[in-house]
Amino acid sequence: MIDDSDRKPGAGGAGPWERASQPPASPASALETQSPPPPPSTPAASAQPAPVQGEAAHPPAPSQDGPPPPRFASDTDPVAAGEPVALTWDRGGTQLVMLSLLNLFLRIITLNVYNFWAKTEVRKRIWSSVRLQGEPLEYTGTGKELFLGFLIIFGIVVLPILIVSFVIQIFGNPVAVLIFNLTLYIAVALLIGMGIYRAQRFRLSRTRWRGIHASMKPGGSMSYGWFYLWTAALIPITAGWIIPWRTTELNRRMVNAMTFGNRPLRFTGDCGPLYRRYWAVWFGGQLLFIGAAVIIGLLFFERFKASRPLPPKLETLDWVIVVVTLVVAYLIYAFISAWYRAGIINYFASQTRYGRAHFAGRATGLSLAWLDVSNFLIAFLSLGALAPIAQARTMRYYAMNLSVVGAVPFDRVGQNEDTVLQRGEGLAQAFDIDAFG
Amino acid sequence: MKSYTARYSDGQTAQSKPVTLRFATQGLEIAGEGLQTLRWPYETLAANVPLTASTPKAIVKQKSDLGVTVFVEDNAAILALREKAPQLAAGRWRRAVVIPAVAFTLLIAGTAVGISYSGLRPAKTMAGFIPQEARVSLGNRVVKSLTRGRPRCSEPDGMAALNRLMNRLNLAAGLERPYEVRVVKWGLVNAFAVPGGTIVLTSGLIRNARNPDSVAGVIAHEIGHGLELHPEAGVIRAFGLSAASELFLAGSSGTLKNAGLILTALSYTRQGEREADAHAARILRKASISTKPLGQFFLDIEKRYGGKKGANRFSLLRSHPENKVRAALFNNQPSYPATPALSADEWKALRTICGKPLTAEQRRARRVARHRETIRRVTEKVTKKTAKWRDYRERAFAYQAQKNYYLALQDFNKAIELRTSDPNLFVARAQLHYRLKAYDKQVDDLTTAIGLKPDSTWFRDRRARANMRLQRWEAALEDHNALLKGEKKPSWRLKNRAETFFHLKRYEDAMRDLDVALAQSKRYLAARGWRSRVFLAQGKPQEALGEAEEAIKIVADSPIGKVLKAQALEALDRRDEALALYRGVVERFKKSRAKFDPTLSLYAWSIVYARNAASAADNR
Repeated sequence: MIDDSDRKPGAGGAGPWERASQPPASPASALETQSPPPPPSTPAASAQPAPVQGEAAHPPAPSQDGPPPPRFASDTDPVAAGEPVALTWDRGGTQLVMLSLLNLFLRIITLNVYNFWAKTEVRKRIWSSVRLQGEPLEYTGTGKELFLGFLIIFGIVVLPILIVSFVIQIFGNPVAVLIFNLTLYIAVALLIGMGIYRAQRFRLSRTRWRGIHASMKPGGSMSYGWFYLWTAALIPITAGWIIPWRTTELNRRMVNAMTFGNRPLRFTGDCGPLYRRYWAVWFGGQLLFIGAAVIIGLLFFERFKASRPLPPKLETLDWVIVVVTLVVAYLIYAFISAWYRAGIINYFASQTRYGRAHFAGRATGLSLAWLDVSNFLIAFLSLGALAPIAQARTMRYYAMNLSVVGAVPFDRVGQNEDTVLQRGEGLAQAFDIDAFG
Repeated sequence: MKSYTARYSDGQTAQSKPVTLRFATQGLEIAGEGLQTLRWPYETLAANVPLTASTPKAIVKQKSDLGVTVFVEDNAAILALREKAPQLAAGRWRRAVVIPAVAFTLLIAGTAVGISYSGLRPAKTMAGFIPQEARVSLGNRVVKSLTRGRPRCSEPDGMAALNRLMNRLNLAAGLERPYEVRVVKWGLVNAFAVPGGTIVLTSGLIRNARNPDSVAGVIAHEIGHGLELHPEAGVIRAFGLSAASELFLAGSSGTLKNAGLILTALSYTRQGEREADAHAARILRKASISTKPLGQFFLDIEKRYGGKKGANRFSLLRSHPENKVRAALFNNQPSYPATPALSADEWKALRTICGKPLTAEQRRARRVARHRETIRRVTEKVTKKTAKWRDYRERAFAYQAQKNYYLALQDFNKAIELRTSDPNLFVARAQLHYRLKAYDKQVDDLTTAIGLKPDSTWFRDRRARANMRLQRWEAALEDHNALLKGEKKPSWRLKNRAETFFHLKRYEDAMRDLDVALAQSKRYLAARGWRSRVFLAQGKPQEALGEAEEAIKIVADSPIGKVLKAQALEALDRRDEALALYRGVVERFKKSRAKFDPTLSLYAWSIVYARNAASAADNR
C-alpha cells in the first residue's frame, strides 16, 4: 500500500507539469534544465499553499530532525526554473477580538443562524493574513453555502436518524434496537471520516492565491471514510501501535488528492520516522500514569498509616501534592505528545512536494505545546467566544513554522478547470469535528 | 485624480504585475505595462473581505469573478473603495444577512407566541395521527420503563373491584375503547396516564386515599388527560424539542436515546391539568360519584407534600402549585345524587389489591425469623473466617433485637476493631451501652463518633442527653452551647439547655432560653412547666403558680401542670389543696410505669413526684 501510493503520485507527478498552460518551448525539459535561483536559505519565510488545514496531523511541515529530503534537481542546479517562495504571516490587521464579540452578539439575536456568516468572515480575515510572495490568500467561500450545506446534512442525515431512532425506540423490539444502534454507530463513524475529508476539500476549493484555486480531486471521500473507520477500529486491538501508520496513510490520501492550480501536491513519506517518536509517547504515557499513581498511592498510604484508627486526614498540603502531581504528569504528557506531533508536522512537510519544491518545518514540541495550552485557555476562558483568536494563532503557527525549499515556476501554474464542490462542510459540522469550528 | 499602486493577476497563471488604480467616474481603472487598461464599474466590484474603515489591504475583483484580481495594500485606497462601491462595506455585508435572520427569529418567536395564544395545539393535532396500535405499544414501553422492578398488583378480589369501578367510569366517559388501570406496588402517591389508554396507579395512592370516591376521581382525572391526548402530545413535543435543539445548536446536543425524554413529556402544563379536571368533573357527575372527596384528596396532598421539593416529577403534585384552587373546583360542583364509587367490601378488596398487609403479629414473627437467619448466616461466616465488619455489625443488631446485649456488644467490638473509622459504628455501640445503663461508656463512644464527624448535630445531641443522664451538667452545657451556636435555635433544644441551666442553678440563663422557646411556640407545655420549676427554685411561688395554671390551660389532662401547681401551692403553705392535686394525679396515672430518672421528661417526673408526695403524706 505504501509503495503503491508512493509510486502513483510519482508517476503522475510529471504529467500535469507538462500540460502547463503556458508552456515554454519544451516545458518538461525546461523545468529540469533551467537553472533556478539559489534555494532560499532554510529558515526563510515558510510557505504552504494549503494553509487551510486544521488538523495537526495533516499539515505538511518541514523537519529539523526528520530524514533529509531527497535530492532535487533544483537543489543542485545552479539555476532552477521558477522563483523561491516566501510564506509569511501578516501581523495585525485581523482585528479578531472585536469581530468575535460582534459575531457573538449577531448569533444570539439570530438564533445562531448567523453562525455560518460569522465563520465565513473570520476565515476571510485569517486567510488574508497568510501571504505568499507578499500577496494574501483569499477565502472565497460564502456564508450561504455553509448554511445550505448544513441544512442539507440536517435534512438527509440528522433528521432521518432522529426520526428512525425515535420510531424504533417506540415500536422496535430489543434486537431491532441493537441492530439499529450498531448500524448507526458504524454509519456515524464512516460519516466522520468522510466529513473530515469533505471539509478539507471544501476549504481548499475555496482558497485562492493570485486568482488561482487550490482544490482536491473529486471523489475519494468514501474510500477515505472507510479507511478512517476500519483503522480506527484497529486502534484498541493494536494497543495504539497502528496510529502512526494510520496518520501517515490518512495524510497520504489527503495530500495526494490536493492540487494548487493545475499541478498536484505529492506526499512521499512513510510511517517509519513517526514510529521513531511514537514509542516515547506510548511508553511515556504508561510511565507517567504509573508514576503519578505510585506517588499519590504512597501519600495516601502514609497518611492512612499515621492516622489509624481515625480516617486519614488530608491537609491542604496533601491536596496540593496530589493536584501538582496530576498537573505535572499531564503537562509532561502534553509536551511529549506535542513533541511527537511537531515531528509529524516537520516530517510530513518535508515529504510534501509541489513540483520540485517541498516544504520544510521548524515546529518544536515546546512551541506546539504552548500553542495548544494557550489556545485552550483562550477558548475556554472566553467560553468559546474568542475561538477565532485561537484559530488565527494556529494558522499563524503554521505560516511562521513552514517554509518552502526549492523554487516554484509560478508563471507556469495555471488555473484548475475542475468544478467547484457544491456542498458546504455540513457533514463535518453535523458531527462537530470541524477543527476550525 | 489620485492613483494607487496595486498588483494585478490575470487568473490564468499564478503571476502578478504592478498596476496603478484610479477611481474614475465610470469605474475603477486598472492600468499597467503591457496591459490594456481595464475599467470596472463600481457596482460590479467585489472584495475578498468585507471592508471596514481600518481594513489595511484587500483583493478587489468583479462579481463575475473569473480569477482576475487586483491586490491593493493601502488604507486610503480601501476608504475610497468603500465610498465609491458601498456594497463592499462590512456593515452592508452583515446587514444583508442579519436583517433576514432576525426577521426569521422574530417569525419563529411570533409563531410560537401566536400558537400558544390562539389555542392551536400542533403537538396535539399531530398526536391525533398516531395509530392506536402505535399508541398502545408506546404506552407499554413507558409503563415498562417507569415501573421497572415494581410488581403489578392483581389480587383477584381487588381486580374485580377495580374492574367494576372502571366499567362505571368508562361508561360515564362514553368511551369506545375502555381505559385500563394497572396498579403497581409503589409507595409513592402517584398516578399517570400513558399513551394508548392505560393509566398507572400506585399502591401508595390507594393506601393514602381516604375513600373510593377520591380514587375514582383520580382515575377520572387521568382519563381526562388521555381523552385530551396529553401523553401522546407530550411525546411529540419531546421529539420536536430534541429536533429543534439539534437544528439550532448545530448538532451539538445528543440524539434522543431513551425513554427519559418521553417521560419528561408526561408532565403536563397547567392548562392541561385544567382540561383533565374538567373531564374528571364531567365523568364523575355522569357516573354519579361525588367530586368532593377528590377535592379533599387534593387538600390532603397539599397538606402532606406541599412545599416539599423533589417530589416525583411525574407525580400528581407536580405543576400543581394551585392544589387548593383545584380542590375548590371540585368542592364547589353543584350537588347531585351520588352513590359511593365502591361498596365497603369492594373498597377493602381494592386496598388489598397488592396483597393483604401483615398483622402486627406476623410482622413480629417475620422480624424474629430474620434475626435468627442473620445470626445463623454470620456465625457460619465467622467459623469460616470470612466475616467482614459489616457481618459483625449485622449480627450485633440481630442480637440486640433479641436482647442478647452482651453478645451484641462483643460483635460491635469486633466490627469496630475491623473498621476503626466509622462514626456510625460507635454510635450504634453507644446506643447499646445505654441499654446496658453504662452511660459513661456511652459518652465515650459518642465522643469518639463526634471526633470522627465533628459537624454531626445528631451525635452531639445524644451526648448532651447522655451527660444529663450522668448529671454531668457542665459537659452537657458545652454540647448544648455548641448545638445552639448557629442561626437556628429550635425551641426544644433551648428547653434542653434551660433544663441544664436549672440543674446548674443558673436560673436567669434558664429563664432566658425558656422565654425564647416560648416566643417561638406559644403552646410549648414543657417550657411552661420548666418556667414554673425555675420560679419555684428562685423562691417565687406566686409566679410558679401562675405558670402552672398556664400549663394546665395548654393541656388540661397532663400531669405536668397539676403537679407543678401542687408544688407551688405547697410552697404557699396550702398543703391540703396540694395533696388533693397529687392524689388526683396518682389516681389518674396509676397505670403509668414511669420511674425516677433525673433527665426523664417532665411528664414522667411529675407522675413520679406526685406518687412520692402522696405516699409521703400517707406515711405521715
